Amino acid sequence: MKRMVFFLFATLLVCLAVAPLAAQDEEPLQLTYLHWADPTADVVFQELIDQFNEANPDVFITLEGVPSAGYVDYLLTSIAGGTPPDIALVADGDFAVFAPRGALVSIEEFVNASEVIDLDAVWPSGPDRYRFDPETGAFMTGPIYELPRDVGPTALYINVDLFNELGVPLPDPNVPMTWDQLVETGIALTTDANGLHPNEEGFDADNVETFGLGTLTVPGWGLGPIFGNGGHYVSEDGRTWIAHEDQNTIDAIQFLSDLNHVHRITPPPGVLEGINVWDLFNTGRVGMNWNGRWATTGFRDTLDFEWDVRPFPVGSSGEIRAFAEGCSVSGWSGSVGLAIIAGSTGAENPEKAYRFIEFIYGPDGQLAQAALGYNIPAQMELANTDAFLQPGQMPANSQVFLETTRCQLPGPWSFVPHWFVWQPEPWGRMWQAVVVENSAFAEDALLDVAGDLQAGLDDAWATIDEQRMGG
Amino acid sequence: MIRLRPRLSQASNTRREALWAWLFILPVTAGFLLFVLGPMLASLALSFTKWDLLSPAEWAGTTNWHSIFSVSVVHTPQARDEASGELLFQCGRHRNVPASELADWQQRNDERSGEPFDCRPGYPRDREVLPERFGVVSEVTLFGNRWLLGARDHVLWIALFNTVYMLLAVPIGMALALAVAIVLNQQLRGRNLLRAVFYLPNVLPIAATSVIWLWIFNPEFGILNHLLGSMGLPANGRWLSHQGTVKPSLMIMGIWSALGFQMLIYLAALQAVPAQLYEAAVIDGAGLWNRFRFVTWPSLSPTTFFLLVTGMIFGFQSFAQPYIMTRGGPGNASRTVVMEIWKNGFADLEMGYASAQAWLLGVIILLITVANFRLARRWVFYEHEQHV
Repeated sequence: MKRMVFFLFATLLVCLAVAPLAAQDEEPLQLTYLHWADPTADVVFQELIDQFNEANPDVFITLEGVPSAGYVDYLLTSIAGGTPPDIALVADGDFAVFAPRGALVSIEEFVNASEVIDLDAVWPSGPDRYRFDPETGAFMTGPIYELPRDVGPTALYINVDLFNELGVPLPDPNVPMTWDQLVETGIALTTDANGLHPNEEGFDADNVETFGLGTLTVPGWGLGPIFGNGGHYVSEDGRTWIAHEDQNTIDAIQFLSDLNHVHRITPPPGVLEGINVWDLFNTGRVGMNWNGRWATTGFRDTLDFEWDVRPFPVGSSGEIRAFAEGCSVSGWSGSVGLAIIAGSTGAENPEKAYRFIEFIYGPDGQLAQAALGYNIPAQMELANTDAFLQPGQMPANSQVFLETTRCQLPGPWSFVPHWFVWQPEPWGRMWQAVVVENSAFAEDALLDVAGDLQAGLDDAWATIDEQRMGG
Repeated sequence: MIRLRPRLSQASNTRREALWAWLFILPVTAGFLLFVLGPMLASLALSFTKWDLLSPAEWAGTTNWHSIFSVSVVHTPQARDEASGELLFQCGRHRNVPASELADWQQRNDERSGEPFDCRPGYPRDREVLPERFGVVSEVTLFGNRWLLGARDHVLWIALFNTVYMLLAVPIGMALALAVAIVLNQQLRGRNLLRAVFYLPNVLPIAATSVIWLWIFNPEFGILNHLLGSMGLPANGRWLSHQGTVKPSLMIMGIWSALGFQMLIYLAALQAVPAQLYEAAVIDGAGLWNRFRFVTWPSLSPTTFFLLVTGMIFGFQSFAQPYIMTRGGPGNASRTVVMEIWKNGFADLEMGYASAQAWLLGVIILLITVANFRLARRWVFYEHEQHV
């Protein structure tokens, strides 16, 4: 017994003595990567991280996840508490909060020197939304702070089975519908308990079985139709609220109200209590619904009907807003990117932390995500291959997402600070009056809230400019 | 002589006991100082700063407090046409209808409802009469005059109004809880099961019950409208999506979720009412009502007081239920103060301002609780006082 103890002890001593010697050269730098936890993403990214760790013996990434609901709170408090993650997912809507305050580390020099990232070969609206120029205080230009994990375009998802059941012809997958065509299709898809349509005598609006179009009680989704009609909320530099002066925007909002109250092809607010239009689409009661590319993975798993995608309709003005030249489709796309957080170990070793960001945005990382249906490869050429298009998988017209990714604009939240703080309340008041209750004309209600929105805009920019001047 | 060891003096004994007492309450006291009093004082200090969590806090003097209390009342008469001086009206969605055309408009049908136009006096736009950057908290319109209550942070004052409004659920819920407790205090078959059933909501997480109630309230397939319909009542009511019904709807759910706890406390108190008081009352010829009025109610008053005070404090802190169920909507109709504090702190990164709002709420709760204690002297009877 005594000998055994001695033997164990001796072994331990030897191990302790030798361990530092053996590890001296290869001790990897421990870095954490914080993302929005969700069951699919956790699996996908753990797999990617394992690949990265294996290929990079000098860095070891650990995945940390926080549910999206409390994600930004968590990131903020961990920074304030002095224990930030090294690399974190920062969405385009939060970039304008973090970057001007010096919370992110610029990766400009690494991107420029990179052999993996070729900014001429990727969808340009992706990286541009992570640029901020501390000199001028402008977004979308200047040094780059993040590379996207993905860019998610938005499109009209359609329930092909419902179209067939009601004998409604499918819209052209390559040419966007006009507003008139949208209304016509919507009416044909809207049926009450007796099979009557909204334009027929005796239509029972209180007992509607299927609705033509969803998404209209969500004020934020007004942006698609606004862009599709050539309108905008704000001026190009993001400092002036213009919606109330822009006839295209006014018309788009009035059109949304009319869909509800004149054409009656969208679910009224009562139907949407406790559920949302996405639930209604998933249960087969909505024929067409606006949603992001990010819905595709879930739809493949859960929907038990045939579905497909179509580009956003274009408005009556005939003008559209688009990111690139020669676009026929419009709308907005969302994005999340990876950033190195200031004050972390990663910030002290930016080259090593950057290598992980580059891996996720590079062809290998992007292809691996695309294979799992998770995103559209950032590299335009890769995206236009079967790796992404995946024939045999729904949606049948995946190519819709290629043109939309090229053409769709970032939301104004990418280049206007604190958008989700000051914009939703006044905008929601206007929306409630015009689109939900129909108690005011778009023109009047937009004018009513314009002052509040400009004030919110001014306050938001003031905090950014103060930071910039002070810092 | 043998000197005996001196006995411990009375004084040192007390000191020793005190030491032990402090030792025992140390964990709680330390917790209070560290996690409650410390952050409270820190937030008071923060309320005089501008702090965005990401950069160091800056002294801001009383700016935050000034913003909170920037409130004004504006009176506006009916709008007039600038050129002709005619009074202006609003018909349906149409503004600026001159008085001379009013009769004409009233003949026509509203393009929305198909019914004759509803015309009422028109007023200038809110932002034309309110001080710059003020929003409308509330408005009153009487005989061609309108009074606007405006505030720099109008959403906060709306949220405060909503929160106070929804406090009405506390006394209503307590009355219900008392009724249920009295019934379940009788010799009923299965009363233990019923007690458990009534208490059940209290052990369920608020996130889960909120989601269940979302479905109950759904106008199309929710069970509430279904029940109303089966009783021959209108069954197409909107609950959470209408500005007029959202607060009562949330209150109904709030009453339901608090009922079990309040009932349990009342039940315990009912069983502690001295039986001899009832006997004496019966001998004096008191009926059922008088026994309740003169024996049960006064005996329960400390319990009622406890439930009222704690209920109001919890009510002021309402957050999870409206956050999950309505996100404060429609419009601002169900926004509560704590939701505003959270939004300002974590979404707007105005921690200093959020701290000031939190202190405003804290002071309001304190004042109401103090008032409750003052008023309690008039109607709360403790048993030991009754013999005086």
